[in-house]
Amino acid sequence: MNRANNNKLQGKDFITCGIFSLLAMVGMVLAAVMNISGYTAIFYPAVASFFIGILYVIVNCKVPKRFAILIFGIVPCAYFFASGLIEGIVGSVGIILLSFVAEAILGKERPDAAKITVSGLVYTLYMSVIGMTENFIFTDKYCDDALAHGIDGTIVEQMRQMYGMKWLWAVVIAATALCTFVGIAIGKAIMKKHLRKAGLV
Amino acid sequence: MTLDVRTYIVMTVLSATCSSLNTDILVEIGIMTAITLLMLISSKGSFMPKLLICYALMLLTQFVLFPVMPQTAVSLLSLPVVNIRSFFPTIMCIVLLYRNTKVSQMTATFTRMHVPKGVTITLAVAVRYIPALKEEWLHIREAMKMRNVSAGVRDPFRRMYRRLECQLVPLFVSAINTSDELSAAAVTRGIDAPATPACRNYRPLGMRDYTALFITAAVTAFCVWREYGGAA
Repeated sequence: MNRANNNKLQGKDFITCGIFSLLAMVGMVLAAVMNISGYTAIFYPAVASFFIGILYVIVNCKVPKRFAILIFGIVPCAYFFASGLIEGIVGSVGIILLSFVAEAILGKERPDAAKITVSGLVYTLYMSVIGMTENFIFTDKYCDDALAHGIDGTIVEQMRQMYGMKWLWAVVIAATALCTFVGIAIGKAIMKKHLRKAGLV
Repeated sequence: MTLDVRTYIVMTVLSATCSSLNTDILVEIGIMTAITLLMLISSKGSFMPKLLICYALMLLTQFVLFPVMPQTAVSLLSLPVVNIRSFFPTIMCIVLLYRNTKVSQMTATFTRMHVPKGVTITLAVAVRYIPALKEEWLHIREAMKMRNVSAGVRDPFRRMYRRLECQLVPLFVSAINTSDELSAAAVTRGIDAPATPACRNYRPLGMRDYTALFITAAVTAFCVWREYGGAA
């Protein structure tokens, strides 16, 4: 089999990406615990990105082929899409676009530690930039909807004030990037300490 | 009675749309009743009374307990209770989709719809791996409890890292082993064969699917009309 065929995704790669894609979605669902209050909700992208960062490293090392990240994003994309409406569609499209950007950064020669970190940071931007667009840009609509759904007025006012501080968005993006970085570092440590030694990757 | 996988997917997306748009509790209860009826007439195991009890408890909390609870408690509980409650129809539709769809049927339908092979395999594997993941997670937790892994570590960060490591590493090892086993089985069955797979389990949309789709579309249209059509 020639090199070009080796670098193409095959059935077994789809299976590996599928399993880790599901784990990424589980990480996102677990991180949704942060939505328990208005103040902690802004850290949801950071916590989810931490889990995604760990999985991102493993997928990159297990399937060092082009478009593996695109396949890795399928289940989270379906998760966003099933959440409905414009936000869901925007989130899904955001995952696909940022997967392409991450693929472009990773290039042909994989796995490269520095490129994995940079592309991972870019990839998880869908959580902090696209996922938080409605909250920070369309704050009034978001808060009015929350009020109409029956959320307590005091909480909604707190949320309105908090999302009104636009600089907080930069903090959310920075926190997400930091958590992704930590996640990637832990992923690399797990790879080095356990998975490589066990001959799994 | 089971519906086609496409019907369930459309129902899930549209119920999420309704959940986001609808603010009337009576409409929401109507949607929940319709989904519960569908669950009751669906295949065995689709109906989950625990979900309904959960929903009823959330309704009770929001409309009966919140008005008499202290403000601090309301502030703490309001966001999770309302958010989870309003997405319950979507959760019920996902349960319906998961309980009534065989992976082979899903794969055949997606293949027939010319969905890319990568997407079909990824989604099929993800759906099939959910029960295994749940089982594996329980095993890891039991093993951790039995060994008391974080005992003796005082530094909270180190303790957290130790716990994380002990939970995640076996999970990843299991995931990688499962993926290798599934890959071997799939390659043996000809997953990489260039020929188009036969769609033996494909079932075209029937009258019941069209009826379910029509009702779902009508409810969504009603919710859109109430939100944007100027209904008071």
